[in-house]
Amino acid sequence: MSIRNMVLVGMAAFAAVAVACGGGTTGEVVVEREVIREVEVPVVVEKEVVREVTKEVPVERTVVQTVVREVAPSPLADNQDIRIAQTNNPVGLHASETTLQSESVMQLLYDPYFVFDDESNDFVGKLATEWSFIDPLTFEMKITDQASFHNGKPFTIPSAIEDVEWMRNESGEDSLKNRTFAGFETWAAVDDYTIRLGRSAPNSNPLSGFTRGRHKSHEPEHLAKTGYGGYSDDPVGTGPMQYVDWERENFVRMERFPDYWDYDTTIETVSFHQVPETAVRVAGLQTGDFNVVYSLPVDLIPSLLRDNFNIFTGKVQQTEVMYLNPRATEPQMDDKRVRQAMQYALDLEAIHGTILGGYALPVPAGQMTPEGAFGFNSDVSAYPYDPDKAMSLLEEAGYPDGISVSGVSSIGRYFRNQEVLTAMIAQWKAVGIDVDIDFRTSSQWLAALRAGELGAISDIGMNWYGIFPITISRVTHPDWQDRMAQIRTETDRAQLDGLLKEAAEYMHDQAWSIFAYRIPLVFGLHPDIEDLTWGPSWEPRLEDARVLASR
Amino acid sequence: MTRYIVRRSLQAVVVIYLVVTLVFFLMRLGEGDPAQHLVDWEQDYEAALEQYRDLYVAMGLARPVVVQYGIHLYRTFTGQFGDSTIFNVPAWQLLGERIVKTSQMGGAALLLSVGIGIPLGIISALRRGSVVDTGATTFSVLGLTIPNFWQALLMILIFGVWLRWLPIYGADTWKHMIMPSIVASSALMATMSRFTRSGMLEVLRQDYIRTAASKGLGPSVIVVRHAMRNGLISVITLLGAAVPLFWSGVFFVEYVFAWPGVGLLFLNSINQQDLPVVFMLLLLISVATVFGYLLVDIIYALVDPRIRFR
Repeated sequence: MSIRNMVLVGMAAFAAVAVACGGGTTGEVVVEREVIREVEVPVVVEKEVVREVTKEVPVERTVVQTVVREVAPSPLADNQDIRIAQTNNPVGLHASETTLQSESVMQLLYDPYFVFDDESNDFVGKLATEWSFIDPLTFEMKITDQASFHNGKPFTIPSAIEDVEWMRNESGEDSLKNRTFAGFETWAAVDDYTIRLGRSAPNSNPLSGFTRGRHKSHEPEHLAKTGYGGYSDDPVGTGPMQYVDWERENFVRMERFPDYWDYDTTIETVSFHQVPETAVRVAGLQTGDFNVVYSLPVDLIPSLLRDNFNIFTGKVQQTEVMYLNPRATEPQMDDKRVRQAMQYALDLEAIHGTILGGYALPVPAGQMTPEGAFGFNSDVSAYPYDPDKAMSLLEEAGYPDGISVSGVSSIGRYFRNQEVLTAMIAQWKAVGIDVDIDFRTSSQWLAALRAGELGAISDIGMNWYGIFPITISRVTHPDWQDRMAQIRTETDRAQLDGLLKEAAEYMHDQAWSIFAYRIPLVFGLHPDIEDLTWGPSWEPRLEDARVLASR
Repeated sequence: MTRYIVRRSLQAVVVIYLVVTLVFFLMRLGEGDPAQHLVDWEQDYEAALEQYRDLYVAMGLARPVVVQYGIHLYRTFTGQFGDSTIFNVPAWQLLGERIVKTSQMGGAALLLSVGIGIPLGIISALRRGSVVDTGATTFSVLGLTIPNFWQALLMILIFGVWLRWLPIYGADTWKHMIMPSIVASSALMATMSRFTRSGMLEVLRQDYIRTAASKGLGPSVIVVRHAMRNGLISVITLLGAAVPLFWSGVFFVEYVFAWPGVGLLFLNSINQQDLPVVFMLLLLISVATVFGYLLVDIIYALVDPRIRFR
């Protein structure tokens, strides 16, 4: 990260602290400030843990603030190796791997056609350089003529098509027989770097099929030689890192691809190590076995910061949502006023500051899309914390003595979801809503999810790539489903924008969903790693990354 | 003896058949199925459901349970465990990748248990009531009562993070094996020490030991040639149970130290309902356990003339 960027980050963090200090608290605020890092070396990054204790509501929150002073750069280490510990490694190294844990690895081995940009909240081309719709069903895309595979073969449209067709016809895998080209059902090469794609029905969000784990390409000659199974043990992609070796559930090693078309990096090797136990991952960071650790528990962050380690917090395109499902078996949930009462009863700000440690981004506008994104409705804002209003709404709805409802949640599938829901249960209880949540293991939760038996309250992480209602289809009310059907097929951008804004307003009024927080990436970084960041599709950005000589 | 071995082997086959059947139905009784783990549920719900239904049929889960059971039995007893639903490679291949690492760690743990547990038990028995005996008893109680995952974390903190003497995870060099094998061996080492101590105390009170001493034999000859032969018979039982246990991996030790062995594979396969791998590993563990005890029975009869094959 350049000095300028670091200053910007520092200012942003400072602003966040200022907002956190100033807004949303009703009582007297006492700020205890503890400077936990003083470094007498050329580059100085001070981190402060700021603890706020409100007198009226006994809430303690921790916010990390970064302050930067301009100084001379540190020397680079001789070995530019990055060692990353994560909970799970990919189960295979095919381009078609789609599990979340495989994303970081896959994004280094293979290039996607598009990535989702967290600044503009829109797609930007990666392999794709130009694209347009010829008509609502026909899409034309031009790709870079600079990219080549790790085995030296050029990456072209004919090679991408050959890959899709081989997978469909010759891989012998049942699950690949109906494979499409990123959701498009027909394809034809216009020339070596241009493809024309078609589909039978219009789709309002056509580019999402090209992002995160959806569509990347194998090298077809190599694929024909290794077969589908063998490709996983000797993958060839176009990404910035090329495969060296791997052991399932142990490690994946990659080295710099010197002919990478997009950017150059000083990083020589990257290895991913599967270390399921959190305490061991953190210990590995402390011993220097790893210089990056994924899935860091927020309660360990203050002690790591005290020991000079750095924390990376990134944004992924996923929001943790609690659904308030209207159900015949629990008729009180059919009443909009009850659902609204449940929203007013929640102090999401307190939850952000405590359980989430200030690391998960709030969804301040209370709607699926973030501010500035396509379809964002600036007239809609989140329900404020107002327990009195919650109680009066319940009384108005005919439940002066409160209600009892039940629901289902997973255990730890999403960032601190069990802890957050437990806090919500306590806040609901305070206004007379007795919520009984059945916390289930992943298998049990998935079984309930697919059977549609999640109860009156359920939670799930919702991905949004492009436009807002992707998994929000889980709201099964017929009115909402009708709107969804329209939104899914509207290709006129102006019409679509209008539909999305209306839908956001309708969703807010009906109070079907609590947009609790944007799920963060929270990684621990050894002080010897500089300027390594991740994009919203979990893609490690190595352009400026470097390993510093240990001090 | 041959008749005895054949009869016990046939009993073992029945036990294994019951295990295979029980595991099949227990896995079916649990909520969920392997297909649901292969679907990205955070995407569009209808699309996810469609993907799930396709996978459910493709994986043979739509067939009647009785048909699935029949296929399962046939495949199990013909050694066709199928492909891992998660890794998409033959289940046998996964076992082959892990068995060496698990054998290394399990072997080291077994050596430690025998090499330390038995001498400690003998010394305790010979110095009954002394400081050594009290120390060995304390050590045994700690070894048996401290949960091994906590012991593992404690060792990582002390020897990995504070002292920086040992690597904390993985299985690259012999140094990586030290902490996992110590943790994996601690409970068995303690048990072995207690069994040896009580066995030796029992034997040392016998008339023939007193007779040997009155004949003028030295203490070391009495202990090694006369007491140990009878005093250690009970330890054989422990070894019979320990061999399959170590071979199948000490689950939580492998989990904590990220040791890429059979135990870690087993845990992950259960979590993700990777049925072909789970069935294969359970079958192998059952076979190893049943035949481990059969071997113990045979060795018992060979070393103890009071026991006869019937």
